[in-house]
Amino acid sequence: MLTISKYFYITKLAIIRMSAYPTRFWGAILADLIIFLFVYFLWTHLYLGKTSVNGYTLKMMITYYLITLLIGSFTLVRGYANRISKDIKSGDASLHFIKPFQYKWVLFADSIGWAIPPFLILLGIVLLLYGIQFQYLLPPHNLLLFSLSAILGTILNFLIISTAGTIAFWTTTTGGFISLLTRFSAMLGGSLVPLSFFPQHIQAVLNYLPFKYTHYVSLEIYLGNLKGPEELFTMGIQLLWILIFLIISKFIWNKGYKAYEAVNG
Amino acid sequence: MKQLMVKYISYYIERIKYPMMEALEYRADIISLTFTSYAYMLIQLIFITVVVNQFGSIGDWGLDDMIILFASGQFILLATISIFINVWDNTETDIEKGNLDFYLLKPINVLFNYSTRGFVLFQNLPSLMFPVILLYFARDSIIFSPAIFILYLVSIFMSMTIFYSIIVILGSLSFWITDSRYFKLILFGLWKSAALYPADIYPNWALPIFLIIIPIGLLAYAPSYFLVFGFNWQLYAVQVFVTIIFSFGAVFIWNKGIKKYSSASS
Repeated sequence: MLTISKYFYITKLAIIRMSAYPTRFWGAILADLIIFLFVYFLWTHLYLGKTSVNGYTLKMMITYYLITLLIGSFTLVRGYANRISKDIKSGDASLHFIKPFQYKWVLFADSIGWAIPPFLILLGIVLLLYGIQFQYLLPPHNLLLFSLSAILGTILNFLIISTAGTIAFWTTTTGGFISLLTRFSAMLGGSLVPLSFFPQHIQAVLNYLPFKYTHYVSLEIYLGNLKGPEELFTMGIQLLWILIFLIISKFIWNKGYKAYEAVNG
Repeated sequence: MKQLMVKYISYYIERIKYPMMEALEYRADIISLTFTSYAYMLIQLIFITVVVNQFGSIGDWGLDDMIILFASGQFILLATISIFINVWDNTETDIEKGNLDFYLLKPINVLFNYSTRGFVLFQNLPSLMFPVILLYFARDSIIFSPAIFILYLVSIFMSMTIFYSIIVILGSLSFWITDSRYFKLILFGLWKSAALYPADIYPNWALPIFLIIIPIGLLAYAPSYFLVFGFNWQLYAVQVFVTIIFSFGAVFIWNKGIKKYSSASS
């Protein structure tokens, strides 16, 4: 219990730090809302004269992006990889390694803290839209399963990106590779467009990759595109991917610790 | 007048010599930077392709037209930031910390002096090649005529001027507002959306907002429109008007800010 509570404290500290930069905080939210406004313009224009494309109605599409905005603060976070790389290259990682924390989970707790304030504001906006009965926002098909799936997606996304960040143990320049991976993982996770819009053969490949389980499947559960046993089966696959990445991550981190030479050490 | 221009041009050439040599020293950074920007552009391109393939077109814009729009937007963004990296990266910090003294003491225009410091065009040349390659691949949609080509280049230049003016205005806000650097975050959000889509998608009420008042929607749209659909005097007039207003606006706001500026040593 004590072990978990110290990570909660890190999350709390991150929330306080985030709140100390109101312009950054509101700037990021406003930027997200502006992007959403253009997404709204785009899809309302594209759906003129159409009722459904690839199983998505206009209402489903707008809801898809609104909920992406909401849970993306958790499921699409990508900053860890750069932070790991920066800490390893600067030698600051040594300070974390000697503390009674697991560095990896410190990063996770910290990122959750940074994500909570914007999430709460966006949640307020979404609830307000429900309140005024905004015609393009559909209610969740299964709120409980959607929330659980989003939590699993957040953990999986963290494990994928943080494992990629450990490449910094062995290479001096990581920016390009990490940027490539994090951006592709966000796209293959369905952040730009629902994956059902991709050609069939690409969708078939994506089923065997972990990325769609970070974000896309949660939205499919929200919209009711997955039902009953499909929902539980998909969440089972999410758990399986988490398990696989826990093992990979542990292995690579252990190798990395051995290869690590602190700059100040 | 001619003597003054020669003075400013030779000053500018001297300014960019050192960054060019420096760029060649850090080749790993160039590779990393290129990877990052190629990744971003490739993903946006996939998005455009997927959407256009599903719907046939976005407004009157088919896939090649959309690629031209996207490539033009990326070129304007990358080229402007590369040439005026100091304005893009440092204005807010320099104003807040009182670091403008160095520029105020020189017998040369302060905004010119400040804007021309830092130059990363050489580092970004590989990234700038990507939009050019895209234009080549989408060439079937281009109207090939010397007049249209010149019009396109003029329009690109005007868009870069507008974008530069916007970042000067946003940076200048730091003369009055502390912690204003996140306005650029909002601008970037706007850019990521507005530069991707043609004005056809805007409802009527949004057209004057995104083409004139916050003219981000105009920057990639106008030159691409000329290249794909030919000359349109209304669009051209709007772009000329916005370029003039924003250029003068940027100089005016910067000069007002400089009068209010308190140096670190004062």
